[in-house]
Amino acid sequence: MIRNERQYRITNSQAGNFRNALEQLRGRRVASSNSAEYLRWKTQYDAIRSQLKDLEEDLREYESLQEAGSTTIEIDSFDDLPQALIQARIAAGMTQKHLAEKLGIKEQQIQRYEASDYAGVGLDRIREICDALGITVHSSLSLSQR
Amino acid sequence: MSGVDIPQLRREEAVLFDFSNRRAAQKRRFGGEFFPAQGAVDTVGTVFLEFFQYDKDTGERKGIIAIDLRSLR
Repeated sequence: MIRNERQYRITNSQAGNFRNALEQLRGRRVASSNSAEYLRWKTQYDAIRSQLKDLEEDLREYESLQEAGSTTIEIDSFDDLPQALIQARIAAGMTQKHLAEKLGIKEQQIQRYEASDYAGVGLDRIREICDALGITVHSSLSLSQR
Repeated sequence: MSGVDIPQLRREEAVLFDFSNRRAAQKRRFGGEFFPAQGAVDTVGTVFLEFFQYDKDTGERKGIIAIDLRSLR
């Protein structure tokens, strides 16, 4: 997942490089489809194409979040909360730096929170972040059958 | 993958060659993904291992695991 403009620029450039690499590989296609050489070529081709797709999806997700403005993000599990917080920040048009300033902490701290999917971050800090982002939470907790 | 017997590997673990659907089958079977570490990902020779090691925030290399398949024989 892309979390900031720097990552967006780098991912965009990587996607361009991957496209060029694919183009070059197509020009070196191995004719005999039964050979080990072909299998080697195809593995490399499929691996790049697959990763390129990931990069492109990441780019699209970031772009559409930025365009979304105010939005509702639905999550089905507690595990999805960290990603939702990051998505909400991007949709709010707030940079990691801006969020950090609102909380009175360093930008790198927000980067670390997000890079680790908020692992080990206390509930109080999560609440502060929700407030700073202007997030309204509508939650529903279901108790599984005893 | 130099030195790796690719046809043999494919006979034993075809799923390693299935890159469809964000490598879902690989993740199901191994809880991870398979990429040819030394395969170039651009036209200047950056390889997959370096690509995955690159930390987009710091520009530095981060730790990931590369397994030499020949050592698993």
